[in-house]
Amino acid sequence: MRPGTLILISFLSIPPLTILFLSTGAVFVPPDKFLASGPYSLIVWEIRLPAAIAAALIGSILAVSGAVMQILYRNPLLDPYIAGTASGAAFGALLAYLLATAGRAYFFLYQVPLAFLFAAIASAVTLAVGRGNVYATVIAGVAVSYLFSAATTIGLSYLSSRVPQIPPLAFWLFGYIDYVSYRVDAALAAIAAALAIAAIKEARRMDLIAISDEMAKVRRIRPDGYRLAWISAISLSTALIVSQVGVIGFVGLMVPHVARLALRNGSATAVIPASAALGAPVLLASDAVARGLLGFSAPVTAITSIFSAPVIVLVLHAGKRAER
Amino acid sequence: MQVRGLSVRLGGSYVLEDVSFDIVEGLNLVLGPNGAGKTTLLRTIAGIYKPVKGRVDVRGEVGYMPAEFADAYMPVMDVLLAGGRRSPGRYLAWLKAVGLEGFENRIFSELSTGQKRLVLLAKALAEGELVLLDEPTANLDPAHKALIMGVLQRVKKLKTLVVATHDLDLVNIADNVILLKGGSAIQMRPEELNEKVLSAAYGIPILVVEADGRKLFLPRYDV
Repeated sequence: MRPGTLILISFLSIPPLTILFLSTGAVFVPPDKFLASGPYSLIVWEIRLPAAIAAALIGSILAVSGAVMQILYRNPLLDPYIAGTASGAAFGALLAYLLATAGRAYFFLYQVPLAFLFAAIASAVTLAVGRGNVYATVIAGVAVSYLFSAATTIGLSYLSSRVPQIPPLAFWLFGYIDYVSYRVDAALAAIAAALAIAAIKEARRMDLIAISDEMAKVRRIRPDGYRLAWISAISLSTALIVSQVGVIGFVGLMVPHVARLALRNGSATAVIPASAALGAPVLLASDAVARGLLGFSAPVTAITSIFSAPVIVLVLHAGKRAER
Repeated sequence: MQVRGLSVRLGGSYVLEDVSFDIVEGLNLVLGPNGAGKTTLLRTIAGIYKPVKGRVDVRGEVGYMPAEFADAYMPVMDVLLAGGRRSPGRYLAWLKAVGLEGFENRIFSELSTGQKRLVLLAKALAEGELVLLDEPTANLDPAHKALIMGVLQRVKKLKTLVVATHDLDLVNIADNVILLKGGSAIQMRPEELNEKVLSAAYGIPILVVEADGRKLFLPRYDV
């Protein structure tokens, strides 16, 4: 398949998935009632549409983040979830509530910076411990994720009695795209656009780093600094996402692989634009299932995990075949 | 082009000390035992390492083929265009020149080791007037080695090549030899590379036998 075809299919699937998304939830709203006045219009236009937009944009951001991490670290099993970036961000975001209870105002001003700080620390620890080895990095990521998830769980246990309005544990560990404002949508759109444009523009340079650090250095690219810059950008994006909707896993891992398999091409020039486009419908569909297609609502990572498990098995199997 | 008084320090100790030699047109062979600084020398010429002393005078752009590279799952064309330096037409012309015409849509990771090297050689040739090659003939079967050597022999008339290697067979197609040992360098003509010089450089007896119009290098393993 050509990249253009995959991108077109992704875009064409967004309108029907959005309609599905808008009708799904605690209350079923048939599409012919979308424009009716009354409570339906409030649910559809003020709650579900901003959530649908957020789901599509977050899917795109996570997919591009995963693709960039996999390419730059030559590791097919990396994304902001596996690397611990998201768990670190969740802990940082939770910490902001703690500071709020301690009487520090303007909670929203430092929630994202705190989430960013811990997202960056978590990613840096994972990648430093992994030292470029595929499996060591994954194991380090699991350890770092567990550590921050445990800290989040403990922190939440302490906080939930003091701050009743704090989101529940399932939000922090598995993500709920429930209440997102149009203002947050605008911020997510800016990040999604900036990340996709920068990554597409840098794709040829990323490919060179994917082939050889030495060849990149001859071209005056410093691979370690370059990777660090991207990890910082990805940590910042993840921080904003996690502070709004909690930890959403596996989209960043799975989507680039689907793109790679469909295009039969793992180059950044092919995978990054395809991932940016495909991430949107994948998370839109996953979240439509999570928010009520099953008849009840579940955290979105529970759904993306189910989609992703076969992809991970396929990647490991393909890797084994290549080693022979 | 030349290297003068070059000293390079890595991790606190000198890897190269006061190294001087000329880079001639054609194929310049960098020889020396493991750890002698061959790769360090290539990287310094390429500008990856900054020397603490001395200078490297090269004209034009530098192309570089590393000894090791990742098994990138992407078409050969994307490998060639990685880094985005030259036009596709120029890369395709060099792909043809190394004998891989029509390979641009093949998946790089699915090629043989020799073919992958040829692709990276074509890339380096398209990108530089001075082309640095690190171990281009290592771990190849005789047919693929002959293929790479044939390409090097042809392209050395068009580009200046600097080849770091343990493969003494390359002496037969070299125009200039730089022998590294203990951080310093001796420059000589290929025909000056006799048993005495080689045995001293590598620390074991190496016989040089003339056969079929070329030199064969036979290290003794039973010493």
